[in-house]
Amino acid sequence: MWNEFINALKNLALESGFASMTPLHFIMIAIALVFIYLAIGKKYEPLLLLPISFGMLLANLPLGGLMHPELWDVQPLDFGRILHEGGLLDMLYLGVKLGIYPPLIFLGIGAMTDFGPLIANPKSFLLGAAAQFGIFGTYIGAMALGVFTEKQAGAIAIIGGADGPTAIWLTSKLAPELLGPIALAAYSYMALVPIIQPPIMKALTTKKEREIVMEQLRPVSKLEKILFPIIVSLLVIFILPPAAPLVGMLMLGNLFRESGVVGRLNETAQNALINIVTIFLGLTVGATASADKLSQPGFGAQALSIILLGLVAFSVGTASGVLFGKLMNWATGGKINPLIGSAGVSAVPMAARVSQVVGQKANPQNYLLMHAMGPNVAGVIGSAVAAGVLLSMLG
Amino acid sequence: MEKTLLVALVGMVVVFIVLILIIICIRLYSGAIGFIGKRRNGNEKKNETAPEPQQNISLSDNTTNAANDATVDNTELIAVITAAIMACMQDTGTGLRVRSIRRIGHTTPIWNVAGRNEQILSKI
Repeated sequence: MWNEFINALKNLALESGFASMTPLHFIMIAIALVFIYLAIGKKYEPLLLLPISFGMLLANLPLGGLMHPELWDVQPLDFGRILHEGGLLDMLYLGVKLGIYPPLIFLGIGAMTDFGPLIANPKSFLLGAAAQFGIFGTYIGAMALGVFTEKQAGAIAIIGGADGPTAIWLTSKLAPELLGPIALAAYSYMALVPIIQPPIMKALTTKKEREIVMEQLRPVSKLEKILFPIIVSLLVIFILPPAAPLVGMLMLGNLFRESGVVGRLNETAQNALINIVTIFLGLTVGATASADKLSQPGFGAQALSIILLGLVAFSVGTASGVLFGKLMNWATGGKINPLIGSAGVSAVPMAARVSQVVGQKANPQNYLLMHAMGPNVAGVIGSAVAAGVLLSMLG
Repeated sequence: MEKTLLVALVGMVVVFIVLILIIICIRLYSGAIGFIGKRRNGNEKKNETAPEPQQNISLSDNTTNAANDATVDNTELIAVITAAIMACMQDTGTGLRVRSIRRIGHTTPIWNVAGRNEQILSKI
């Protein structure tokens, strides 16, 4: 009787997760706990970092059966097997793998975004385009390192777009094996925009340039705002069909907002829908960072390189935006404050706020926020276009 | 390496071309809307029988102007300003009437500006 009792306890212990723990699991759980701390304690992009880090934690608890990395490592994917053997997070991961979640997030972003400042000053688009130098500069850098394949380099480079959903969308298409580190790097750097950008902005501009007060933007009519999403969708998707999911959904969300006739849909897109998708996206992206990946040879070096390249991408994007702002300032005879160029990296609205704060430090009477929102939302379109280009050339 | 540089170059050029095309489209349709709006306003002014335009904007005039003018929606602005005055005066709406709204020069004392900036900085 006593022996049976001991054996039952022993079997229970052997079948528990503790028995299957490896040192790698400990490391991954520790990393997940650090990210949970950063999300709650330091409030670094908590809306995404919290589900990502908890997804990471869940996926690395042995025998939980929530996520099965082995189902996703085979080519071509066996969807029948995934549906039969997959766990909860495997099912949710289908939305990432099939490229469903990022466009749905873009739908919500479109419903939240006012493109008015951009329509009032369309020149802002040039700043949004210039900031994309960060993406292509990093692509060259990643290839020069020699550690990554073409597709992986393209996926890493998109971190420079400072746009989480775009980074996840492109990575799931080009290099799904790097999804975890790329998503974490992209969102971490987005949270660090107020720390990364100001020193670069100050180093590249003179005090006189930072003090420039820009002319007030003209009012934009409702008709112009309604036509904008329709025209942008037609133009971009005709020229670059691979960008259709992101640009199409972004513009649909914006049309919901500007049309004024679908208040309920607009409300749902910018609140309930985007929140639900954010939970799914965060959880599943975090769950891809499993201990098995860490044991793969060279993965640690790759992850470290991604983090460094991400920083390079952000910095180059900021610098090129500011430098192009200087060029436009010179071309317009001193009418453009170069600080708004740094907002060309998407990171809406954080990058525009940084332009405002840095500008106001130089001239307390200066309000650059609305001027910076132009390049900021242009950057969202620019990085979606850049993602489409990379997908069509490397995919 | 050659292909890498080619991808980067083509990528940047395509991004610029697409965004420049969007700029051109915005300029074209904004210009067209502005032109049509001006022509319509011009025709309406000709038909108007009112003797003289008032210098100060009155609430009732603005409501009609806003309906005619496609680019400026003054009714919203008037509503916001009126609401702000009501909130400041803690008036429940009895007896206060905004009769005219006029833009004045920048005369804010420096301490007010400093206070406002501090408020904004604490929010962003």
